[in-house]
Amino acid sequence: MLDAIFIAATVIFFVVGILYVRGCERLSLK
Amino acid sequence: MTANGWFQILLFLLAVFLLTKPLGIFIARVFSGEKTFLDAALRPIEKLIYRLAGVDENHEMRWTEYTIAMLLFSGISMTLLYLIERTQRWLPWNPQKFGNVDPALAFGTAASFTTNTNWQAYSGESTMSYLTQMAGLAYHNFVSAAVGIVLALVVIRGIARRETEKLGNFWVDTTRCLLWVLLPFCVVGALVLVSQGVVQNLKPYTTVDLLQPYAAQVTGADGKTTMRAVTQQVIAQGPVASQEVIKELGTNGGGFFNANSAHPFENPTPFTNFFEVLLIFAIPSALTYTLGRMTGCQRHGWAIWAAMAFLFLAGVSTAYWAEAKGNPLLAGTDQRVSAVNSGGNMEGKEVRFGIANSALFATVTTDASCGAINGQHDSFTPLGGMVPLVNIMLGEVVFGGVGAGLYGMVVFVVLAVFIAGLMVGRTPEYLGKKIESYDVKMAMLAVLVLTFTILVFSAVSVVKPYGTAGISNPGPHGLSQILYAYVSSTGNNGSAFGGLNGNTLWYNTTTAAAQLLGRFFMIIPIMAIAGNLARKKTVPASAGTFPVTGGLFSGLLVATVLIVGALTFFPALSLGPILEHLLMQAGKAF
Repeated sequence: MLDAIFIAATVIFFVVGILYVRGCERLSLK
Repeated sequence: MTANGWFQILLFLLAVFLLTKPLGIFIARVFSGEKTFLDAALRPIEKLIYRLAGVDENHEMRWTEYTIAMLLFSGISMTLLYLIERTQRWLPWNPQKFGNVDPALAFGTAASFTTNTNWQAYSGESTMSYLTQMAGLAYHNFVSAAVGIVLALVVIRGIARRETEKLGNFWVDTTRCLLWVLLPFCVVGALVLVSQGVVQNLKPYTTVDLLQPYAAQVTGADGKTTMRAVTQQVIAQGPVASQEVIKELGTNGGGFFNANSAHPFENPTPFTNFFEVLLIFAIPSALTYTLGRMTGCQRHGWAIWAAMAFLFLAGVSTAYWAEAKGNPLLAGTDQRVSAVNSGGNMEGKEVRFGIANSALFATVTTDASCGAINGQHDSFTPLGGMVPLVNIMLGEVVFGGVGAGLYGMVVFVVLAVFIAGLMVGRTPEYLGKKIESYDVKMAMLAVLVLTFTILVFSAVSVVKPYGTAGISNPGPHGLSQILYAYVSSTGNNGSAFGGLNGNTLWYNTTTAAAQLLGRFFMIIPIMAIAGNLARKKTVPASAGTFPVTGGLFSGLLVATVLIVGALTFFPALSLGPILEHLLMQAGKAF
């Protein structure tokens, strides 16, 4: 159970990181 | 303090200075595609890797593509390390038959090594199999260091290039960094360490009979203590030298053994001690020269180097002074230097290295984001222990981690020229590029993520029972222990103050979160700055341009680093090490 939670947390963190990249890019285009 | 101690510290700085130019030129040549003496041997291997991996080495990426490639690479590598730790019991190269690592510890360790932190809530010699050490941890020592270096190169390209979106190829840069920069130096460095007595083998641990058996107090499972005769000792060993060299060269810091560089198998002689601290600063120092060379302004690179060297000397002087002064609570004990006495505060220090080399190692390892130790920072005097803490709080930009130190310092450069621009009422410029609101916003995001992460996690830990349960010395020293854990994690340093039990669900998960936020959420806005700078035209310098060379710029840069660090963390420091120092002077210890 904990394994699934930690792997999911890892995936979520890096997906949020990609969204952060996109957010910074959108801010630069304004 | 002794003349001998100062001679060793200044000799170290001289060695760093002498390494800076040749290594800086070499790194610049590697990443500019210029010829190097290793090309004949490595170019065929490089081409084969690209063919196997399907990489087009001529494809250059925008900052977003580059950053996303880095995130995916790091995320997948982190998951693989987690899986290796969780299955090591069934995998080969486990002669000690270690069990699988607990989930929370495995997650914390995976985050720690992926982020170049190497925070260790375990003892390597009693937890990790040889396969986990080599294929899991040492692998990350190489690639996390390579990621830091290539990101610094992207920032340099962003400054140097004009009117372009292209900043290089993540896969090509990482491959070249591993093949040309890290692996060759590590092969040579590991052999140097082996020649000095650092072990390198895959043998099971050796059990030997003690020459002098002794009686030890043992606590059983029922909580009862009994005396037991100890007649044997288990001598841990393994592939240490190969891991030791990248531990320092890549500013990783995670030791093969729990005692890290205080262990005689990791750091056996005064020469290896000198060699190891030199390895820590080698690449970060060289990158300042690379910056100057690739941007066409060598004096700018040296101005940054001078600012870093000034901050290093300030830190090591304070630590050395505080430790050499000794402990006032031990009045009546001989703490003077003599032929048979190291003098000063020797608690938690290796007798082989003494005060000067312990202060030097502690300062260097926290100026950089290394985290290797040759003495316990927890046992330093309050002001001596405050130096490593402050070094990390400043953002580890005093030479700093490999790559991370330089791109962190560029954030402060952006802020420094912005402040200078405000003072003279002109749009700030940095090497011909106008610094505009977007660049400053991104710089502030990079600074604030560190502050926010450190202070929020520390605040929760000091008021919640699951946080305070880990403290071994309640009071101001306990606050320092918690603060250091999150400062070290967020700064991706990885050294432990010591004394805090970090192997709990709370600390394993929150320090992992701090490491991930401190690494990647700092990198993203810095990469955005690089991308934005690369797009800009250059404007010629005029009489109103603030020069980013010379003493005035170095002074402003030092002031910016200190003011940002002091304003952010002084309240926390005043309740921790500063209060502890004042109470120690009043006769109270923690």
